[in-house]
Amino acid sequence: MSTAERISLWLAQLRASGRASVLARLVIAAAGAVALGVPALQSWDQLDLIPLLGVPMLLAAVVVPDSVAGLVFLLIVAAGWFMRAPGAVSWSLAVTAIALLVVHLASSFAAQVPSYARVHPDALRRWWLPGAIAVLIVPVVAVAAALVRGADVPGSLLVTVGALVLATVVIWFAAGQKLGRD
Amino acid sequence: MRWQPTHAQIRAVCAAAVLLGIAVLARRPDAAVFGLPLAFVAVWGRYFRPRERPEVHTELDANALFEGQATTYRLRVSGTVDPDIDLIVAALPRSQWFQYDPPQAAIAEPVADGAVTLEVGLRSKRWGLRALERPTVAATSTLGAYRVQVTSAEPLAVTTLPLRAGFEAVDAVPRPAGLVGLHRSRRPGEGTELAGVRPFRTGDRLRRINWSVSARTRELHVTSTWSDRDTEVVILLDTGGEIGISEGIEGRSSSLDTAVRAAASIAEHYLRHGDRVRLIDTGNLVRGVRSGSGRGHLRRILDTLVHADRKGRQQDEHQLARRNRIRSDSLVLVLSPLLRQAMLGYVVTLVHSGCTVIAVDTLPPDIESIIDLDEHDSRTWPLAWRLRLLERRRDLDRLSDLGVPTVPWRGAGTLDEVLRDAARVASAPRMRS
Repeated sequence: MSTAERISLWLAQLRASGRASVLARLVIAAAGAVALGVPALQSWDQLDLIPLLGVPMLLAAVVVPDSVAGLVFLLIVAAGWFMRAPGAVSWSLAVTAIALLVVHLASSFAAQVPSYARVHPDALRRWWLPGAIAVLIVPVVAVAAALVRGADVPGSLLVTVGALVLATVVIWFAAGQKLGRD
Repeated sequence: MRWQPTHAQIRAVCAAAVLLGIAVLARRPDAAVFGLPLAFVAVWGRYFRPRERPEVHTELDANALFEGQATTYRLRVSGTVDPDIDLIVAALPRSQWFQYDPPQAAIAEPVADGAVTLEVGLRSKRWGLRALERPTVAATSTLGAYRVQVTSAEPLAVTTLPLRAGFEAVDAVPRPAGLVGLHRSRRPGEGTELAGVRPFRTGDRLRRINWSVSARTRELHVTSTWSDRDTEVVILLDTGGEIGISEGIEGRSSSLDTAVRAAASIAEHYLRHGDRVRLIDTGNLVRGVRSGSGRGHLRRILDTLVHADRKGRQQDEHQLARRNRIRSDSLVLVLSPLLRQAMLGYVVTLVHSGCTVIAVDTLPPDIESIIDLDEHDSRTWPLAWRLRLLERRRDLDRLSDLGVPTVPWRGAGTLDEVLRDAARVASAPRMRS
């Protein structure tokens, strides 16, 4: 298939996009815009490079949700936050985190169906519970982090090692690794 | 093929790993706020990962359709479906000769109660035998974390029969022969059509005696009838080339489309009236249909017409005459664009052998304006066609001089006038020279 045919096919598929696919992509675009816009409105000065890199990646994630563009976008926004933000937990941080989570979930949904497919209205029924829990985790963790930081808990080495082990276990399990040979 | 993590799962795992690592190592609680929800999503997707591959079976409600008819392509996930499978997504490769519902022939259905059935409507737009390509089927898990491609399905095919519009012709056949059929005949004999009442003659059947007339006249009278007739109608289908553009039932028709649809309509009409119909395909040595009658014979003819677009070796004039011997009292209907010399020569041979021949012109009327700009020169192409049509006009005039009328196919009523003329000529006294 030549490049011209590919573009023609892609445009034809774009014209024939289903409602579910269009909605999912609109959600990606809106949540991505929030994730890029909120850090830009903060008092600390965001790197100019972040929107320059983030906007193309967001567009790529909207057009091709089943790609690495979404991952790159998440890391760019997070990197922009870590480089200049003071490290304090705030509501703007929670809003940005929720926006990144929504970008991830909407990309996941849009990636599993062809853009032109007709999707049953009940297709999201198994997404509401984990999605809602994940969204709730954001303010809970934010509040917990603020409390720990405010309490100035001693013995940070122990806390650090414990968190490291917990994070490792979570990643190990989520990555599908097993302790046995098979 | 096994369940594979999707980009979404890889994204969640990688982003969570990086962000939680930064949170711990750089003592940044804001990184944990970013990373923990993604870690939760990754764990959820991993925990509810399906283990078993679904089995998909496909079926069609009906695998033989008429043009314009629709059926349902059904994709069924059978057996015990893994409860962790969230969505089944199927996309049918589309063909230009089918209309789909939904139009893109792609559908996503959630698994409910351990079963799922996906249905796509198919409406056939052109006659022919067409294989439906295997659909692309994928199953995904909750949160789109894992995916498996399901190689499905038995290959299916749809046969579209070229019969759509009803065809009617006048009740006149040049040389009726035989004693079966429903048409009136000019020959008295056994039948159902009343011819009159006449005095009894030796050989008349007793059950034909008209007792009321006999009692009144005090002389035996019988009720006479016209014999029901049948005639052999030979449909000669020229598959030597497809001229024009085929766009299905709702668009333009090529010469082959017109010929095949006309052949089906004519066969259905004459078989409905009890005549015997024979089909000759010029492009196929073995796939003609011998003379026969009845509904079963119609189905045989339709099944043969379905294969008319297969490119076969065309027979020349002599091969046609040698392989297809036609009785001299047959009515031969030639369905052709009348461009090939072999076809015109065979028509002349048939006329000389005594057959009544009617040529049905299947050449599209707008043939001069159909230009493929990639292959044809836009200036010379119409001019070439005009010259070719002039030559063809000369050939048709010669056929007309031989007594072969040529009519363009217009559906019902196309043959009325020429059939009347042919019947009149056949019933006129013959002059021997």
